[in-house]
Amino acid sequence: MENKIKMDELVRDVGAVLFASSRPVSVQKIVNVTEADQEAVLSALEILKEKVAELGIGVGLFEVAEGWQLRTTPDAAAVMERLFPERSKKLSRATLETLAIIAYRQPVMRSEIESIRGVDSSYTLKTLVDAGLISVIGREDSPGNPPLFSTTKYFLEKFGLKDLTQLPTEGELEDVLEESNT
Amino acid sequence: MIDSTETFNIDLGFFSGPMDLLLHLVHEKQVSVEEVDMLTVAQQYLDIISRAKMVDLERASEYLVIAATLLAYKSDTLVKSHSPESLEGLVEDRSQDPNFLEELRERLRQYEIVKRQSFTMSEMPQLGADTFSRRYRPNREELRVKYETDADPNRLADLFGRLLKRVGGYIGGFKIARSDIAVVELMVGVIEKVSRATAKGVAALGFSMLVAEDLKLKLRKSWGAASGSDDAPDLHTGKGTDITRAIGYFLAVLELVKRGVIGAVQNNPEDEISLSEAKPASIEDLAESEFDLTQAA
Repeated sequence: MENKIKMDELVRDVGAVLFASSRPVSVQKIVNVTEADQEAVLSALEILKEKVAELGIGVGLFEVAEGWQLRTTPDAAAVMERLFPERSKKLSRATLETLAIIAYRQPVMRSEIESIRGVDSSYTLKTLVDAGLISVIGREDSPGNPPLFSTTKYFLEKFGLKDLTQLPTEGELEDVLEESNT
Repeated sequence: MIDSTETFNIDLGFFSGPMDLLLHLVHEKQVSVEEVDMLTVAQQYLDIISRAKMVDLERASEYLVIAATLLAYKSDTLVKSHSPESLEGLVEDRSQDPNFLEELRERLRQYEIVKRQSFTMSEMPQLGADTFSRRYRPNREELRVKYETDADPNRLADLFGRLLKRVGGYIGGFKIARSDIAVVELMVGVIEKVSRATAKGVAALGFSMLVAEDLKLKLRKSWGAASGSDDAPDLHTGKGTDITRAIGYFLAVLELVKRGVIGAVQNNPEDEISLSEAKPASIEDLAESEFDLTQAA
């Protein structure tokens, strides 16, 4: 019985921490502020995730960017569009292509990107750096020392990924034939 | 859907590049990249390019590069098939010919994967578009860069006039060629160098030092020192620096100042331009400013 009370309190504390935080919170951070052990925190997170989902209030607990975050659920996207008409523009096809190449093949040089796309990609790279989705994590050990690009932690946040292993794999990729028909 | 066999004038603006067009031609035939007849696709591509409206000059070159390569391949094959022995030695040995179309097929295979990956990503719920979180964001105003200048357009015209005089009154014919250097890469370089200087406790990095060719020795000697020493590159004469790189760096600096990543100060015309870190300095902070949703009505 005492364990249940403790868990209830922990769930409450974790909920409060996540509600008050604007960025994803790592498990370690939660462990530090709640002073509970990691196992308990992980259980509390699972319980909290279910509770929030059960509420049916357009809010969910998501594991993103190596942390946890409360976010609105995608099925409420329509009303959010009316609430925030000036919300962020989606990336263009060209920029998304460059981003996909970097996301799946990082770290990667500009020349590799351009060889795959068959077109100059410097504008898309600038856009992505601007948006904080990619950054330079080093330089290639070859003449000119060209920069190597990788995705950032913010990229994981933006696309709701826990980490890079969560990128959709071959079987999960959408059939692009559908797109070229639209 | 665009049917390339019926459309007389295809608007290439629909495609993101030659690879996109080639892939479209493959999909149109309802076969996989593996099975498609590359020769037919290549011919179709050439037909389309010859008829297409090349509206975007920048993109045109990319379509033409592939077209030219395909044409060269085609003419080589034709020559070889008609008189192989007599022209031996005259025709460049392109014994890797059969592989060229296969190389293209491989590139298409790769590109198809990329298209599927990017399409899948576009369907994922994105923060700030389909899903939202509570975010504290600093007030937008705080992030705005403060421009302090007394520059005016007349002054600019005056400077340009002086420059024209210096080069003898007119700018001669010049060639437009693609540079190997991308401004975005130079921007990265500028951030790195300015950060390093700041870490060393140097207040500002001189622009001429930034473009100095011999980085190791000369920079160590005079981090941030005003130009005037013998070793410093002279941006007026172009001595000690590569002008193309210098121009690239200048554009990079302008971009970074615009984004509020660095600050640039020049007290008098033709003085050294001093570069320093501005706030915000992190890319993450720049990203946050995009989502200023705190004041939703």
